[in-house]
Amino acid sequence: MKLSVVTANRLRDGAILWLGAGPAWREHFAEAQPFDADALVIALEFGAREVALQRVIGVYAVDVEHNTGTLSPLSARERVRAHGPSVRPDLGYGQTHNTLVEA
Amino acid sequence: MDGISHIQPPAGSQDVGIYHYDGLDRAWLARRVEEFREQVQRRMAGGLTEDEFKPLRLMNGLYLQLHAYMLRVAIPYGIVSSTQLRKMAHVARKYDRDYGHFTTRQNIQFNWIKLEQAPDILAELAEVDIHAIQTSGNCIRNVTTDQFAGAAADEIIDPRVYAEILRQWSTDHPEFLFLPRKFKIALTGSEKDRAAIKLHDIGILTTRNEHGEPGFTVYVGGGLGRTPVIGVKIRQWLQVSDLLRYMEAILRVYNAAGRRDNLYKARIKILVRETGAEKFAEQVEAEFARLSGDRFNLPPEVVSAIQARFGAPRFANLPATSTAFDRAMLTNPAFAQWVGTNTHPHRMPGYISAVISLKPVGGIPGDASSAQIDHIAALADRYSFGEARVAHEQNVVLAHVRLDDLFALWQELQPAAIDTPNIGLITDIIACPGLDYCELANARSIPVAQAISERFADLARQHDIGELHLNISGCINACAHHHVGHIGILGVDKHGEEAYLISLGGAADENAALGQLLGAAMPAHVVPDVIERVIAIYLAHRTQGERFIDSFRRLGMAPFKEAANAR
Repeated sequence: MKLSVVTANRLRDGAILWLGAGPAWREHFAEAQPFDADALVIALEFGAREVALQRVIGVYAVDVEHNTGTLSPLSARERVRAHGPSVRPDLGYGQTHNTLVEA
Repeated sequence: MDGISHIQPPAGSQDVGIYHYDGLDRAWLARRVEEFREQVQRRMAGGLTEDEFKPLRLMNGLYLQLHAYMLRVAIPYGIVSSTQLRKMAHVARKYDRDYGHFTTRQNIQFNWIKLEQAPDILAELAEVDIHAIQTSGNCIRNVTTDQFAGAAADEIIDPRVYAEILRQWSTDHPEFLFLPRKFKIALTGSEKDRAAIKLHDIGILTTRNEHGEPGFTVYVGGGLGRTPVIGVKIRQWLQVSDLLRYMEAILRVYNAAGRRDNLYKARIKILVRETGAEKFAEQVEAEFARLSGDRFNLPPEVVSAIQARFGAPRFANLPATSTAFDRAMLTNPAFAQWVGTNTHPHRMPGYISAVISLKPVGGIPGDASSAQIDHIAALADRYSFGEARVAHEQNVVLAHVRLDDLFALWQELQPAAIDTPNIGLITDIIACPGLDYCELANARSIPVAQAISERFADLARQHDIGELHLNISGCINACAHHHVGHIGILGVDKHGEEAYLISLGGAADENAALGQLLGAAMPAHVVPDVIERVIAIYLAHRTQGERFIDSFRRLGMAPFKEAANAR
């Protein structure tokens, strides 16, 4: 079954966000909620409302797969977004923050 | 910054070789900062949509990149004072993640900027007369030039003066803020092209006519990206006083006829190609003839007035040679090796230009921590009249160092790990941020650069290989100029995975050429091995004194391709 997560950037600081349970935006990819095709439609509608409320920008779906028990984005681009620059992994959002964030 | 009366001149000597703002410049800049502050506030409050806000933030150098907002700050023609460098280090520390990235357009980028703090950053930068205006958007961008401007022994004119004139002409130019596409101008002050002018929308090469008068040769339509083109000459000789009139003519022709219906066909290179260079030149000449000589004339007194606004280093009257320098060269091989690659002749006796490498083995090309930037600022104060330059090769130059002081300077580079003696060698890699940072990239470029740097880390081997320019771009937009690297590497997306195409034979100097493709795309881990095999062919076949690019031109692609494909 195809799985996706929903991502965006927070308007005020540009931070990468992942839609987690709640629904609430999280900075840590590990807290992203996977959605099947039907649930994804609803999640993207939530994202569109968040855009209208000027909380986030650039909402879109990211295809993911289960990889040794954890979710992983399918594309190299989204893996970099999820985990920070590969050349400076210390700088990724998820590496230094793991908190519920109010967008 | 809330009013003109509060604007103070930046700290630092008026001798520093930057263009010194006056009250008018600072008032204008302060207004622009406040204008952007209001735009950001409206965006945050929902008064502007992202579609409405995006062109406004881009005109102020603020992108939304892969991880965060990125602020691109202009370093006009690459020349920066120590005071300005310290402010950049401060911005990196206070607002970013403690480092900046020097770019191939002589700018600096901060990768982790918060939108809500961007106006404060711009206000802080304005305190030292720097800004991010027109570092993005479809306008005329930062004019670039030779990093040895005002210092090079072979210089005919000081290109900083003309770059500044072009900066003033193009900034907020009412006709040219919404061009079909972005527009880049580069010029050199000598007949040696150290600014890659033929790869720019307009390239200006300083030369002399048969009477020995200085003037310009003008190229148009150069550019890399999806459609790489070497610029074509449309004016063999342009007298200095006609510079602005001719620039205005080119831009008018482009602005009127350049395509706006297709992003990929909007650059002037496409217009020149579709029109034909000869016909395009005729159109420019016709427009040039129509423009008022009075309005666009650049009289010597105006040039002199601009020149006077640049600080002039107070050079000492020194002998051409230095006993201290000669002794250090004889007794310290590591210093001698560094001098061999990291210096450039100066026009003044007893002085030399020093290039600080931002390419340590395994490092990130062009990145510098706030501590390193502060350190360079201190060295600029001690050794180079408080001034430094950013080279388009992503290194930093201290242009005016006494030969007597060069050994002491070199010793002070070591603690900051900026003493690598590799300028112009295989590890002096030009690399864009690639997929690690860039929204547009298809593949990472930095890790490939690091792997090659580590593979060729042996300095003796690097020096044996000799001059070799290696450029890596993470996508076809070619920010690292891979098309014109002696060895060029392009990151591509191959079925969702990163892959790399290698080209050979490019050049960015006065003999500019586009590289030829070596073969099919390959995964990252294979790239250093293929580079090894290419280098082995060069070493096996080179003649005495022959650089890699010379051997390639003599041998052609065949032996390199055969070696690259060998298993």
